[in-house]
Amino acid sequence: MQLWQALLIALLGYFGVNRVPWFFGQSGGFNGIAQPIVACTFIGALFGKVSEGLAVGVALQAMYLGVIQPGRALPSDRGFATFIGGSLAIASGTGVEGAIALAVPLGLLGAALFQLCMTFNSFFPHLGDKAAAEGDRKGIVRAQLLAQIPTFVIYVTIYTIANYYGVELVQKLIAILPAQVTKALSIMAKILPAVGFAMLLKYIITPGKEWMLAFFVMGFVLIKNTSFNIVSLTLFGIGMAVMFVMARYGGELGGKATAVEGGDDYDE
Amino acid sequence: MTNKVLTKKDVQQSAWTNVFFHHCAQNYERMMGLAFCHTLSKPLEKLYPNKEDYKKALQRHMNYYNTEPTLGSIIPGIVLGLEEGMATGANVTEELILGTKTALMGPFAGIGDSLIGATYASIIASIAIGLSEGGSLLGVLFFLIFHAGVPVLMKYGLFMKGYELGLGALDLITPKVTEIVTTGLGIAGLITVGGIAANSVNIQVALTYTSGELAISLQAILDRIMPGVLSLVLTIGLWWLYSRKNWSAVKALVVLLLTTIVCVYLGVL
Repeated sequence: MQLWQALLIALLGYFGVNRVPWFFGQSGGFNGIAQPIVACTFIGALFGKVSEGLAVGVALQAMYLGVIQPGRALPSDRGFATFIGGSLAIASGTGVEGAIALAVPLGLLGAALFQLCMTFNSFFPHLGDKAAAEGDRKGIVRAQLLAQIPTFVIYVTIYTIANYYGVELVQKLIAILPAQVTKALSIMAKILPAVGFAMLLKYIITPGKEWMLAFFVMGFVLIKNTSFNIVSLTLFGIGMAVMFVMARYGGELGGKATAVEGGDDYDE
Repeated sequence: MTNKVLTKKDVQQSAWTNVFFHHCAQNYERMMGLAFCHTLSKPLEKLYPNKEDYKKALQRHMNYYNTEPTLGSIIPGIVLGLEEGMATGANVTEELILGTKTALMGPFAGIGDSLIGATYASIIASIAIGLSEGGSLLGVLFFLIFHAGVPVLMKYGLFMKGYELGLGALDLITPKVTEIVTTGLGIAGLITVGGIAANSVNIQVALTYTSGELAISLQAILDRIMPGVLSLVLTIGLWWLYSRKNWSAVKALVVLLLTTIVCVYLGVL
C-alpha cells in the first residue's frame, strides 16, 4: 500500500469516529460515509477494486447489523473492523474471508480505545465550565473544537500505521492461522450480532416489562418460518402495537376500544 | 404567548449547530453536556444581554446531558423555547427548564435507541445489503440517503418543532403519553428487531452421529424442533446474562469467541 492510500483511509476513518462534526456531524460521518458498505466501496475505488470493496462492505455491514451502541455499551468497534480490517482485506486480496477474520479481534481493540478516548475527553467540559463562568461564548466553541485534536491524532496515527505496514502482515497471518481459528472467526461473525441484539433487548425491555420479550420471539419466528420479509414484518409490528395500545389504553385515548378494567397495575 | 426576541434565522442556526456538533467532545463525565451548551450559546447571548444573566444561562447548560440524538433533537429546541419565555418574562423558572431537560432525556434515549438506533437503522441497512448483494452500487446510494440524509432532516425538523412548541411541549409530553408511546413503539420495535436477529444470527451445528451406514445430523434434529432455535436461545440467554448476571458485552464476546474456537476444534460447530 502507498502512503497516500493509507493516509486517505486514515482520514476517512477519522470521519467515522462518533464525535467528529465536520460532515453533518454523527449522521454524515459515523452513520454515513464511514459505515462499511459506503467506506469499503470508497476504499475499493482507491485500489481500483470497487466490486471487491463493495463485497467486503456488504459482508461487514451484515455482520454489524444489530451491533448498535445503546447507552455506553459497545461490544465491538465498527471503525477498526472497517478501516483496518476491511481496508487490509481489500488491499491484500484476502477479501471477505480476511475481513471477517480480522473484524472480531480488531473490533475488541477498537472498543477498548473508544473507552479510553471517552475517559480522556472528560477534560474538555472543564474548559467549557471556565468559559461559561466568564460568559465567553467563543471559549465554549473552542473547548468543543479542541476536543477534536486528540481524536484526530490518535485515530489518524493508528489507521495510517496499521494500513501502511499491515498488508504483508495480514497476508502472512491469514496464511499461518490454523484453519480452525479462521473457521471459528467466520462462525463468530454470525454469532456477534447476538451480542448486540441481546444488549438492545436489555435497553428496550425495562425491569418489570419482561413480558415484552414475547414480541421479540414473535418477530424471530415469523422471519425464520414464513416468507415475511423485514418490511412486511415492520408493518405487522406496527399493527400489533396499535392493537396492544388500543386494548390497553384505548379508554384514555378517547378511542372506542374498551379499556381493560384493572389492567393498569398489570406490570407493576 | 411570549414575545419573540429570536428571529427564525437565529433558531435555524442553532438547529444546525446541533446537527453538526451534538456529539463533539462526547465524554464519560458529561456525555453530550458541553455540546448542548454550544448549541444554545449563540441564541442565549441574544436573549440575555446582561452579562451576568448570560453567564448563569451558559453555566446551567453545562450539566450532564445524554440522549439519543435524532429524536432527542427536539429537546434543545424545547429548552430554547423555554429560555426565550424566561428571558421575556413569561412564567418560566430555571428549575422548570432544568427539570424539563432532565425529564425528557431519559424517555427520548429509550425510544430513540430502539426506534432509530436499532429498528430504523437496521431496516435501512437490511434493504441496502439486499440491493448491493449482487454487486450493485444502488444499495450504497440508498444507504447514504436514508441512513445519513434523512436523520439530518429529522434532527433539524425536530429542533425547529421543539422550539415552536416551547411551553406547549410540557402539556403534550406527559408521563402517561410517554408510557403509551414507549410501550407501543417498543412492541413494534421488538417484533422487527426479532426478525432482523433471525436474519443475521445463524448458528449451524456440524456434529453428525455416524453408526455404520446411518448418519444423523444434529442440525437436522434441531431444525425439526424449530428452524433457528439455537440462535434464538443464544440471544435470549445473553439477554438474561446481561440483565440478571450483569455481564458486559465485552465479556460475552470474549466468552463466545473462546467457546467457538473450542467447539470448532472439537468439531461441534
